[in-house]
Amino acid sequence: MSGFGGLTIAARALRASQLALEVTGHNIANANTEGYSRQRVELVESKPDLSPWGVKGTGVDISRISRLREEYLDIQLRNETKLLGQWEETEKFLSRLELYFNEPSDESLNNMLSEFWARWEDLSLTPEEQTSRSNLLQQAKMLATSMNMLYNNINGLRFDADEAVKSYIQEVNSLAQNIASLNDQIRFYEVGDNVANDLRDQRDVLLKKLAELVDFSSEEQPDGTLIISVGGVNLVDKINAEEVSYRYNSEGHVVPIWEMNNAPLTLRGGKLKGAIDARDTQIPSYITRINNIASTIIKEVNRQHSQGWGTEGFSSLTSSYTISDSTAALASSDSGLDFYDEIQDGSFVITLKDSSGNTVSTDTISITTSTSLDDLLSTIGSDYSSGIAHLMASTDSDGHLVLTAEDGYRFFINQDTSNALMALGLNTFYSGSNASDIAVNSYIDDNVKYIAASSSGEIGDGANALAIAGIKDQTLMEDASATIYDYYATTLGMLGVDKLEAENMKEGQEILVTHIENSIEEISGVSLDEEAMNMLRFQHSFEAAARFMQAVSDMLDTLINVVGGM
Amino acid sequence: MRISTNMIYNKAYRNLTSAFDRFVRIQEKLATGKRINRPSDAPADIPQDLLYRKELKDMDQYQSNIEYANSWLSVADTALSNVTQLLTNAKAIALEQGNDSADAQTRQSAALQIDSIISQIVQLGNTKHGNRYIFAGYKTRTRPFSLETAGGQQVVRYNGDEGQMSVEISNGVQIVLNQIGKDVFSAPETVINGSDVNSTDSPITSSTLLSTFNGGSGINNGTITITNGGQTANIAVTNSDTVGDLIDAINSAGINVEAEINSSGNGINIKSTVSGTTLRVSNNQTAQDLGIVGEAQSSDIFGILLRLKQGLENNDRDQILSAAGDMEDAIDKALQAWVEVGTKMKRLDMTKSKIGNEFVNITNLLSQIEDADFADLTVKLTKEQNVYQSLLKSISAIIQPSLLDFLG
Repeated sequence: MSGFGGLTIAARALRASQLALEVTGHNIANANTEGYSRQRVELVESKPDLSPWGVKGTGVDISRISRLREEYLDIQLRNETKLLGQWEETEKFLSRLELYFNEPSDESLNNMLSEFWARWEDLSLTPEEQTSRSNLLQQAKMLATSMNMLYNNINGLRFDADEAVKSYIQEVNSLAQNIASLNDQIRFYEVGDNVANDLRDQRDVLLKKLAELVDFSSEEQPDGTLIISVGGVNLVDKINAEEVSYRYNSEGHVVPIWEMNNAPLTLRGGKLKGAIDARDTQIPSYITRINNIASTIIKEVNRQHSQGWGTEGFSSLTSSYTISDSTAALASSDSGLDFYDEIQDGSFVITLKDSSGNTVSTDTISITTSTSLDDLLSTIGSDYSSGIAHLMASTDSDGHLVLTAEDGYRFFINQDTSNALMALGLNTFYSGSNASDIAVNSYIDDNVKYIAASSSGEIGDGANALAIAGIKDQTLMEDASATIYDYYATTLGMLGVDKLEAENMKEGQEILVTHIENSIEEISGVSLDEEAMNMLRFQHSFEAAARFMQAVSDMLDTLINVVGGM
Repeated sequence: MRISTNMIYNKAYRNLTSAFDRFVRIQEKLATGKRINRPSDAPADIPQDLLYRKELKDMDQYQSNIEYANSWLSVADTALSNVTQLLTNAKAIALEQGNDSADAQTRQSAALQIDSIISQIVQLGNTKHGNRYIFAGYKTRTRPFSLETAGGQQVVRYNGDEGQMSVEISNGVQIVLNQIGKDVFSAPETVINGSDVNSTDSPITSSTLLSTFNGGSGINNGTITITNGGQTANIAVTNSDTVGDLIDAINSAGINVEAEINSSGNGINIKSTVSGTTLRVSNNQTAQDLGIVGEAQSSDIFGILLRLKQGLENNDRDQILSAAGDMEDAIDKALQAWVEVGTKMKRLDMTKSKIGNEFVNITNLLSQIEDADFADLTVKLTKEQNVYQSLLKSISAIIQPSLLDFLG
């Protein structure tokens, strides 16, 4: 060994300390950088020399700058993150749903229903009073409007989910792009044994973000790039990213598809699945339930209403439902009636009265399950003379049945055992077939005298109104086992359970994710105290190495001077 | 365990937010006074909560129904109590005028008193609640009783119907609110019940020919004479007429009578449509063949009163005494109606107090489910407040010093 060996050792030591200090600085600088893994300079003893006195150390060598990271924790994190994302999304939509129902409170559907039946009872007590009728009308309209609003709000959530899905698709695409380009850079830097620490950190951050959105599996390739597949299709193939796009389904909702072949994505977790599940499964089940409530109210109120008498006969009456095929049996779906399946063999009665209120004629119209609109038109007659005198039946351009009495006559149509009046919407109370379109019939809205409170035709008779009020306690739903209230209360119970489950799952998942993140932090996180200590350590070792170099230099100096002095 | 600097901050942040979240939840319960502010606060309790709320609303309505029924019945109660009183007075007058000491003059002035009683009872029969006639059945806008003259004789006509008004007074329980004026004042009907006509067409209908009567040998063609009070009608009948023809002819005779096929379908009944008359079908072969020979005296409240008045006017002691005897029936009738009203009112009172109790019970149950426990919440709030403050303190203690503070 030459006498300069000491200088080499000193130089290596200086370089090692300097680099270690720089890495400490890098750690401190990135202490708050998302996803940053602390780095460490790996030092090894340099290759020893063979000397006459044995193997002699030659100082320190820098092996590499390593990144402290446990890969399996990242995989766990991504797995739990995807579930968190899914439950977060579910919880978000269910809590909006809960908000729309606004139960329990005094401004809710439950309350509105009670008020509605109460106004029928009031009407049954004083059927002669105009105010009983107008109060009922107002309450009935409020009930209908609030059901419409509830429907629109809940259905609107499904379209909100679409917007979320669209923005998640965009995010997935941009993440996939960025991961692909990071793959490219990592491949570029990692020639030989190099590890692109910081780029890998960045990629891990993106992978975690991707896991929030979709469920995927990733496989690292020998060149450091990743192949990421979603539902068996490669989203990122090394340095290429596949584009996710969307199309609209028959209901007008967004479906994520692969740009390359238009095949739908198979989703198992993440926000994307959460939003789509909420939109296609959870929310629709509540829409179905409020639709069931609305259609039960429409059917049952109308069924009873069409039995009774208003205080004034109709001079003209347009059915609230339309018939698409006048030759088809009313009781068949071809008729186009919403409640066609309610029609059974039976009859209803048309009573004609003259201007002084005397009964001119009473006709019982028989209905069978094969009676068509055309049959009905010919029974009643298409002019004032044929069929029932002074009354004519026709259809308008939309397919409504229109009954018109001759001037000076008015008619009553009621006492229906066939449900035909209810299905057609003649002498009924509500129109529509579900929560979206329930509304008070226009003829009732125009003239509250048409509200059929009476079951005999006499003005002081409120028996039909009382019968309608009685609907509230009838078990009409769930195979005749539940009242409308029971069904509604169950719906809210279900919503509460669903929401609470989502909330608990979300919170549980959050705890899990936090736990894993802590584990990662434990290994990869920067501790400023630790770095400060390292800083001192490397500073001191640098100083020591410098002193050592000074010592070697002084030694050589001395030697040179001695030689020079000779 | 290695602790990174971020862990300290993250943990501190997480602890702070979760403590604050708990704080806010308690605060919400305190602010609304409710333990349940949304279904997910207590999913198991929500259905019951909603059903209790519905029951309370129902009870509100029952209370208001009962209130209405009570005010209606108290009007009926007053009216019927007055009727009873007036009838008792009428009976006293009748007994007094039935004495030997009474004479034509006293009876004449008593007749005036009875006349006034009749018109008062007619008025009471026309009692209104609000603007509804309470004794008119469903025809609440039609004066149910009118005092008319037919054939020079006073009669009372009932213009109402027999509609029964039901009121729901508790879940599924309905009571009939009204007393039908006809049942109280105009019953029993003045009717001649026809005997079996022995028709070969059995049961007889409106299209049955009269020739089928009497085992197919028919009737004696001729004229029947029907007298109702001061009105008389002669109706010609032949074998070629149907039962319907006969009924139509009688109904349209204009003497306030109505004919109908009896309930057994083997004869024809004839009845008066007004109170206060004597209905008679004169005896002849044709009437006998039709099975409608007979006489019926009006014996409802008005019939008896009118008969009494007639007796007094005519100074007819026998008629006065007979009417005085019948008067007991009239009083019974009025009393019975009055008692019915009283019974209903009592029942309403009982139902009302029962509902009142249930209302309190259910309000309590609802409150147990729904209301916040203020004492408990206040304690919890204080606790969370302490937790929050100690968190802040401990965080400031941990975060502030760092090794860097001590490096020169």
